[in-house]
Amino acid sequence: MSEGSPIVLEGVAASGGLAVGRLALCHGRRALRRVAGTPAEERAALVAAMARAAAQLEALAAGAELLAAEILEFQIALLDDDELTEPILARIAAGTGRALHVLVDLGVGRQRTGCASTAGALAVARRIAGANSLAFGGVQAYAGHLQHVPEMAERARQGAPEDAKIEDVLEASQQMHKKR
Amino acid sequence: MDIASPEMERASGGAVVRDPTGLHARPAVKLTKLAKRFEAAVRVRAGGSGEWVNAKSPNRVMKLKARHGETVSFEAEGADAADAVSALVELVERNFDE
Repeated sequence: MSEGSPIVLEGVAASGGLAVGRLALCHGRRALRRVAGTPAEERAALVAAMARAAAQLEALAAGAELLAAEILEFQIALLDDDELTEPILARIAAGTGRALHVLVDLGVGRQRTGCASTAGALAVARRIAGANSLAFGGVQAYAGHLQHVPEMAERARQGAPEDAKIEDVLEASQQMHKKR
Repeated sequence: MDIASPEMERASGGAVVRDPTGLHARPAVKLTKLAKRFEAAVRVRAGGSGEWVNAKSPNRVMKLKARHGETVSFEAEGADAADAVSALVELVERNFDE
């Protein structure tokens, strides 16, 4: 993102409130090197990976308290959303390499979403860098514990340590992506 | 085919969102999960002039941003269209069992 040129990104907050913080976007995709398998193999691999992810989330939800379980259920539902998966499957069918852009989710705040540690987030980034079918799309972090701090300056002050963590993960992930 | 296709069943209905924060993530999942149980194609919109979206897509339903006090409307087309609409209307009327 170039300095001084604000980009407006429209989104939907998962809960009510005002979200203020850093949005770390990573552009500059590398040229596509190759398609890892045949489109049919790639499709099967993605469908299987989504099924594994859903099973992992279901296992997590089974041991979570009700509210947490319902948030996990939302994530499972997104894996099963044809409107989201069909464009990806169409790109795979068309033979597009790196059809799937993946964000690293860093858990800040109440650990409702994302990797609990910086090391965990970097392990995810490493997996993305090592996977032929994935492209690193950036870092996202949801600071739920700051959602209800009404004053902007105070919110920024409390969010500063999280900002630093996000910055670290973004930089390290970008380095991994460049090296591969 | 020598079997005449049955008349396509259609149904529509609506209900007012009662949750003070509107149609947020958890109710959106409940709505889409319920819609997926039916064979009929179901679309939903928020308010009187909103865009119709696929009621089986959690992402699309979330993006409706249906607010407290707003009416969500359903339209279904398919074999079980009437059952689908009445089940979905009841879910909204029950405030998504929240």
